[in-house]
Amino acid sequence: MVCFILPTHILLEMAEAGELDTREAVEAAVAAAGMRERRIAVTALVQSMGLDAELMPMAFAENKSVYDAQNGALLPGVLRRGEKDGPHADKAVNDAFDNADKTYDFYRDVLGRHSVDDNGAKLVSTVHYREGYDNAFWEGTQMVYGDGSGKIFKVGSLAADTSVVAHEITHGVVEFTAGLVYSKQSGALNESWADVFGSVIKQHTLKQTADQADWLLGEGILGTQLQGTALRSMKEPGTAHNFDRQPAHMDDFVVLPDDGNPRNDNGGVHINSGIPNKAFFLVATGIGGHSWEAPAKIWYDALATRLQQNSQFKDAADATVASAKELYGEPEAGIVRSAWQEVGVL
Amino acid sequence: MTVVRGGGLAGLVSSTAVDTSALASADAEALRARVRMASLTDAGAPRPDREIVEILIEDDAGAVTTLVNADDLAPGVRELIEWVESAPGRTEHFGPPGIGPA
Repeated sequence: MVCFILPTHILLEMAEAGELDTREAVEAAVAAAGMRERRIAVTALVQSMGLDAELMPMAFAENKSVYDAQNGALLPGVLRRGEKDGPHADKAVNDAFDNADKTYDFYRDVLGRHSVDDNGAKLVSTVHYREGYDNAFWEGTQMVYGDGSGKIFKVGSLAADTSVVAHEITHGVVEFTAGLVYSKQSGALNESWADVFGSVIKQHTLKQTADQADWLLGEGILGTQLQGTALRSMKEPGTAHNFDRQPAHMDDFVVLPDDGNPRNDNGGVHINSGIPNKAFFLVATGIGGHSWEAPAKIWYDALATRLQQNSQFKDAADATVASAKELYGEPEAGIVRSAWQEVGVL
Repeated sequence: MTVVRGGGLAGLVSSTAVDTSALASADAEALRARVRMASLTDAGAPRPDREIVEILIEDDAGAVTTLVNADDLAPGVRELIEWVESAPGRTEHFGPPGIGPA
């Protein structure tokens, strides 16, 4: 188990509770503390030279690794590729590595964020999780990818899709920023922000403008039990496949309980995310150009500085309007406000 | 006995049911043995894209429903779910959340 991104006190509490190997916990805690001390020392040095430390880029060593669960459920599994290693013989390993690389670089270069915790955390991925497993998820400390059974997802498609990988890593970013509770509207916002950056990072990789992009999550990954083009469509929510129930307007908001029943999707988090997804699409196409410029920076600013654990759709609308106004001015704020009005949130 | 999976990256719902009365006696006894061995645990707080599994057992004594996190299963529970999802004569349904499947 790799817990480098967890705070030191949690690592040590886990070791004390017997949930983590003591030596591993201490090594991780020392590494985390060392990183903080290096940052403090560099800041002091920069200040002693009469420079503004806030303007100095901090040195973070990008650190990605991909493990193989060998079709079992133990995480992280066997190390197959580290940061300095060349491509591995296993395509799934390289897919997970390359897409994590694209995502890490996007957050660093476009948004100035260093990994999920903004403190250079290792990006750990595991592929070949269980047998024919139809899922990918952010585990809390790492990404996990099943191979897919061919029924819901094509075999080998999950780690190979940039939007899926960026979606999962963004769940990690959400956890370290607003911490949106995974239930009902706040959970749908959690899902939507993961979809937004999944699509934006795919567009950034392909160098597409908002008008050129397909705005699809998981294009071409569906297995034989689903008929459609993708998992979700931000441009036309509810049209991606035959079981896609996503609404694009508050008039069609699907009210479901969050009662732990697997039929209810934590209160419709993967359903009602279609509404904020559509709002972002309208903003990106309304502003025009590349979605990773003003639109993504507005959405990221709102996530990192304004949204809170229990934020609702209205809060997200207010937050993104405020971020747009502060970062770019009234014209962009007006486009954001109009988008949320068009989907019935404002 | 029915296993219902929901959530995950797709947010969809799948259901697999096995009617023990349609099974050979050896298979039916295997099911009962797995139910007895399973140490069912709580699903815990909701987390992004994690699958939740409901295990519904109906017999002469009534119905029992249990929720578990698909990625945090005790070995006996995992074995039970895998057995149902590969049992001969099983029926499978698939659909969106809220309205289906069973």
